[in-house]
Amino acid sequence: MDSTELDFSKENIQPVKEGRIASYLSTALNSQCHAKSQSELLKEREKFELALRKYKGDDPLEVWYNYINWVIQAYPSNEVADLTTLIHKCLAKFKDDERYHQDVRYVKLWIKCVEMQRDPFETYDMIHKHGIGSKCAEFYKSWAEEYEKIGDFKQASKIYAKGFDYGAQPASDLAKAQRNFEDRVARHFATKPEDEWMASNSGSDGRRVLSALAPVKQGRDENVGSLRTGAAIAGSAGVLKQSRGLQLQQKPPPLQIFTDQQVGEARNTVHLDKVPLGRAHDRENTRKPGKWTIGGSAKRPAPAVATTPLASSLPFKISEDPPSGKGISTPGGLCYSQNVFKQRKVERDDFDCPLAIFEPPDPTKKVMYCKEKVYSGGNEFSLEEIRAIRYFEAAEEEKKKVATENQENKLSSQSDENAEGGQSLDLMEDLSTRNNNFVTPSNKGKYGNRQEVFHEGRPKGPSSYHPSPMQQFDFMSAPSPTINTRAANAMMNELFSTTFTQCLGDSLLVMPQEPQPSAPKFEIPCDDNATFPDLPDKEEMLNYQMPKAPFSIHCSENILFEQSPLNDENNCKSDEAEEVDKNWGAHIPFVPPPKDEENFGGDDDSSKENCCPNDYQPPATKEKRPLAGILLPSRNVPFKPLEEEDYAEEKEDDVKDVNAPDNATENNGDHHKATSVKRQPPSHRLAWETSFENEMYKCLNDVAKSEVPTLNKEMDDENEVGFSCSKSFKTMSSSITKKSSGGIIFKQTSTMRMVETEIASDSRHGHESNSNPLSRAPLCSQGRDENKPMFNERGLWGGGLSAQPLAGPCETPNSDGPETVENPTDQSMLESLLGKVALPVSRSSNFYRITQSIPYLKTNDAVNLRRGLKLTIQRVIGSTPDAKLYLALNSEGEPIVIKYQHVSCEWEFYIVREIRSRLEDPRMFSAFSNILEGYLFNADSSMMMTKYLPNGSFIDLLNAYKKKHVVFPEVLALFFTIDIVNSVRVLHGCNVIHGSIRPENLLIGDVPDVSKLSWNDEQFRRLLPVLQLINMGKCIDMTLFPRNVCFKSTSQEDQHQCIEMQNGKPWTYQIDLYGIAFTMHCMIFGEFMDISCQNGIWNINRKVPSHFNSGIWNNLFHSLLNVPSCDYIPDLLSIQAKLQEFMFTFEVDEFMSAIAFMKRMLEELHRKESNKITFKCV
Amino acid sequence: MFNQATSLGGTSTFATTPSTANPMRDFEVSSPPDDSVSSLAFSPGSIPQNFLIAGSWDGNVRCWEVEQTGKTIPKSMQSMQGPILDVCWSDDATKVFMAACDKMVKCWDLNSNQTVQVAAHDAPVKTCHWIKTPSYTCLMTGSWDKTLKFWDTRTPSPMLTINLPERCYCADVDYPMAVVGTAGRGLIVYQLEGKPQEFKRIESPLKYQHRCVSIFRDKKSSPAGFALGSVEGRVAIQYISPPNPKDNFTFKCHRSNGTPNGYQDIFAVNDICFHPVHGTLATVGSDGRFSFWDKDARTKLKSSEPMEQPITRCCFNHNGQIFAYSVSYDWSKGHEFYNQLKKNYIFLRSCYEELKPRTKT
Repeated sequence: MDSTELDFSKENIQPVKEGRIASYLSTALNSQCHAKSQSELLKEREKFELALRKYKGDDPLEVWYNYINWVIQAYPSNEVADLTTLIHKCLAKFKDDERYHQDVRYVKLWIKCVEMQRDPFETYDMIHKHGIGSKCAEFYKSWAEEYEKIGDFKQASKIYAKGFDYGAQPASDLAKAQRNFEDRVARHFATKPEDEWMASNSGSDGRRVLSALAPVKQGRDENVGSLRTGAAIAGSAGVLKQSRGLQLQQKPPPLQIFTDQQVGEARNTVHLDKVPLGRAHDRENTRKPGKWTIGGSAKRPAPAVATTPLASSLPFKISEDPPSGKGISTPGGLCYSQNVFKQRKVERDDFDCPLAIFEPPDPTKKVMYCKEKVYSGGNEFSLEEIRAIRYFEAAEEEKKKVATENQENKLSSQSDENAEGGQSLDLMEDLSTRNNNFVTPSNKGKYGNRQEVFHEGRPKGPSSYHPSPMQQFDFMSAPSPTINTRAANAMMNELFSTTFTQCLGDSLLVMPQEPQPSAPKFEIPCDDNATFPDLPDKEEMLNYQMPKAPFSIHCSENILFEQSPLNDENNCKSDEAEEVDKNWGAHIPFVPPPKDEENFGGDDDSSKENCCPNDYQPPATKEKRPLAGILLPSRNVPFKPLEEEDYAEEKEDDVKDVNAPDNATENNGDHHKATSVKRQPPSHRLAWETSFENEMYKCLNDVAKSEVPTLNKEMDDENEVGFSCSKSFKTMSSSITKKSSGGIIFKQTSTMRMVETEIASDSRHGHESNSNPLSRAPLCSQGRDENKPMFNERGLWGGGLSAQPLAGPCETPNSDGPETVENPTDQSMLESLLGKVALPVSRSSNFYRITQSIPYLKTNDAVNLRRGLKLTIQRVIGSTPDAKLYLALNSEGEPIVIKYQHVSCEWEFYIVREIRSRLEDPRMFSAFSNILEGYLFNADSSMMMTKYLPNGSFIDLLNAYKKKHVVFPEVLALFFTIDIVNSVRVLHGCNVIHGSIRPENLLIGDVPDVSKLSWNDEQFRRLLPVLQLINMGKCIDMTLFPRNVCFKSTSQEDQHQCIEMQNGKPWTYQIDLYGIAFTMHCMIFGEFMDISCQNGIWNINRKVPSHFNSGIWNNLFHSLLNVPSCDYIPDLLSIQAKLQEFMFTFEVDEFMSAIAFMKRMLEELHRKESNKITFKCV
Repeated sequence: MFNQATSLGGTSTFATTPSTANPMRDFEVSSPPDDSVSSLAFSPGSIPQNFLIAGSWDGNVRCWEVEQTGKTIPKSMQSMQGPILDVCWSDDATKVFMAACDKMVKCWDLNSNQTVQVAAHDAPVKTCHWIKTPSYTCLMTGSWDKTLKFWDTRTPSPMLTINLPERCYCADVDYPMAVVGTAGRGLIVYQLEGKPQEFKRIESPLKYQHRCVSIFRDKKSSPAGFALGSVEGRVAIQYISPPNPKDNFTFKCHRSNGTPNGYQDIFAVNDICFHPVHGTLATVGSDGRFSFWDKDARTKLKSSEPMEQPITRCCFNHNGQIFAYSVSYDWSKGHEFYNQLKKNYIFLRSCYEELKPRTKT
């Protein structure tokens, strides 16, 4: 192993008498930081645990002994493994087992145990009285050494003598040890007079820092050990040499208490029921270093050696630093080895709770389950697991048995074959079936009969007991090697020379390979119908099952099951289901004419999303329709188009109303004609087409628009057919042709008024217009990029359309006009938008409407908002003009932030919920605030609960840097910029604009662990997100607006308007880019952004500091501030990639130290101001 | 017969069973499994009949139709390549999912009587639950490989894998809540709305190993908390957000009371079930008894006579008329006490009246 690695962590390695195995040590040390080696260790450990329970032989100690020794090797710090518990358990288990009392292994374990004691002599004495190890030389040797260590040669020699008295074996060993001992004593007295030695020795041992401080003591301990070599220096297993030193100086009161307890315990336990634990010792080591000063025994350890890279980059005192958690800094933290480990430990998300809380034995109670098995070793097993061990063992044995049987068979068959070659085929076949016996469960034969009973009287169908494929394996079809006797001979030889498993794999020809049940691939090994439920043709399945299935009643539901995703959407509208039922009958006549199908077939790739999946076969004929009618729940399905149809009609009316007074041009007239044509057969196609046309002409028609992708993608097959086929192709194409000619003009005549009408009508039809947001999300994320495909589609649908009309809308994609919406975050606008929401906020389970006025919150008051939620207000942690933030504790004592405001929280609640449902990557959840519960009171007052992030807001951190006059390091600014860009990119991907990205709206989440970081994409991605975007009240849900919408805000007094806002230009996502720039500015300069325009180019007024890479930053500011138009929003992904590339040019260490420094700043913040997190005005 | 509130529904129909084996004189399920019963489940209320499925350590899952008369008719059987550890129904009662020691979960389509693999783990699968929500349907599986996985049964890879701190020992689902008990006394509540995610971890109210967990509902019949059974004779009632901290409590059960030798024997709680109508609960234990409890009144409603062997699992049918419990060895005393010759039983009991909360009367 790497020597530097060892250097850095040797303080964490407990010395062991017998030495450590380098390979183990390396893995073990690695495991502190690498999840992989840790999991390896865990696996190994599980193996031992398993072995403990599995063991059936007559030497159970063996397993224990190996296990404990492995633990000693594998966990050099003895911290994770809880070695003491293990040893304790083992000793307790065999303490009454006479045959082990003189067993060297058992005695060695005892010695280990004793070495962990504070007072080994008592324990040795006790063990000896109990008769353990009394005939074991090893025992006396270590006992004597204990005395020798403290310089009590007399006692030591007595122990040796005792050993001989008891006839300890092997006597030669003991004699040798005694001789060596006597030599040492002689040499000791010969070379140095006693007091001189004392004087020279005290403090000479560099490693025994504490012993140097020990006052010279009276009595037995007066003579400090004779020789500081060998075992004395090395220390004994599991014990730092320190502990010995501690024992010498028993002055500090806290220590004394522990000692006394321990001694008392040891003394009283004549019965070895209580194997003395090294608890006191452990407790001591885990104590905070600070307490040592209380004992007055030692100075504070020297300030951490400034080898930390921190020191070089940041002008901060290191001495006060808590351990930074980085491997490199360990040399400075010698005395904190325990803490170092805590910090370095791979983060595991388990609750730190003891395996079980063992109660003291109660003589009146007796557990009636095999507790010793359940809680054997250091782990627990459930009864089922214990049984499964047994089962797997049996299965294994069975396997082996069959294997040997097979081989025997082969042997005999071989000889038979040699005699009469003709029979070989049969035998081999026999062999192959025999092999299969263990492939299928062994009980198969047993249940074969019962199986028959089960199936009696039923028509012969696929029986529940399918022969495995192997059994059906046609052996004859494969060229059998046995035809050739020589080949067979060769194979037999091979069989015997290899293990069975090998030959399974090697000679595939002879035996079909056993299916691997554990194989991750879903190869269905046993069943003939190895298909997933959705594959079989539904129609066929149905017909197939109907006559014979015993559960015939449910067969309709069977299909429902397969369509479950489809139903989800309808469930949202279950309240309207009745209506559907009513309409159902009327709906049937619109059976799709078959030619529609052809039309669908003709579609090519570009309109893929609009047509059925390839494998879908629409129930096109009338005969099949009633069949589908059985599907009760799927009746809901056509409902949506139907609704839409109604709506479409109404909408058409709206359009007319708008257009009529406009003195429509000829083209408009055309359009009217078109719509009227379409209206005659009320159909789904109508709705779809209308929307489509409108889309094409860029009419504002958000509802239909949002429906289009929704329907196309997420509605299932049937729906699709239902609505696509309901209108004949002819009508459709003709209407398209008509309209296409007037397209462009129509677009121009569209007015703002239309927009408003549309929106108004939208809100009326709110719940229809938006389907389940969840399913819609991915569709919408395509955003404006979809423009192109849409036009292509149009070409397709229009059939013979020429390309010319297409060009119009394409060329002017960014023309504003009808798409402009003013003040998207205006309260009334939000209300109307909320009306459109598919799943109203009020229906969320964690949204409560309370018809009372909002309660007044006071510190230390308890609020009871609903049953089961009792919050105790702690303090105000921030305020904004219309909101106050309180920190409260719930009944479990978890901190919760209450946002208390006198405006409705509905919108924020909605948007947070939407974002969460649209997020595809669960890791990004933490990048956006989550509202646990929302409460709406009378007069639009509201409260929202969010999780409390103790690290506070980003602006506080920046302020802290500023206050300390420390420049926010570039690497950190870069990192957070990437973080923000990433989050904003994801947010935009969800079609949501945040609208007020600023340092005060960013909370600092968990600071990632950057130790052992190296620059690669994967690792870097894992660091994100750190910051959390909050204050979502200004968010804009783009899916509620038409695709090409732009916003125009007037008279925003806000100083943080983006450039477009200031200039009265239309804007969309720019606002967030501006926000990113703003935040960057705060990080780099520590002040709010100030911009100005020169030659039409906006730039920040300040110059990026020279030690920053000004090129990159200037470019970034430039591209974020100078967005050409709503249609040329810079690609955040490429920005992010560029930044990341730049990030990777930094040294990892620099980043690590910056993060570590930041952590300290956070801690300081946290400590200092008792969390007076101030949220600045929004 | 199950619908009528007959008092102890004793019948002499099953003369073959010695009275010691059926001390409660309940209806015996014909052709019971040949090895310990690991799981029991009644068909959901989406179909009028009652079907009972039972998974066993013999690797088979059996299905019976339970008639109103108490008669059971063996319907079908499917097997897997290892002992079954859990079974569950799909919401429409057309499919049964079987989790087994062979690290797989299979879907048994009752209509076609065919099975298909729907889930895989790296270790035996201890629990499986069918989740039906407005936005998705999936199968949740918990395994000893320390993961919880969610499967769209039509695709071979899981929709979602959640790592558990330890091996999954027990789990229950009642949308939108799921609770998982793991080794090391881990207890994690998940919320299934939207995307399943950890809701919170709860410090175990029990001192010893978790063995079974069952979600109960509040008066508004939305899931409010769960009952957790321990390997050492204790059940904890735990609310997710208790109206009052004192609402959480534990109670002792499945212990012998004062036997002559002076010991109190403490047995493992093997299963807990809540009555779908009354909200009262039944526990079964290694002592071979089942007990009915009223958690709100904190009283015991009834305790059965001891069976010959431990009761491994229990369940109620969808309308709460039938209580099924399986008598077979639960391995609680290790393999040494396993007697293959002892017959396994599944009994059915008309229970509607017995489980009525006492406060109402």
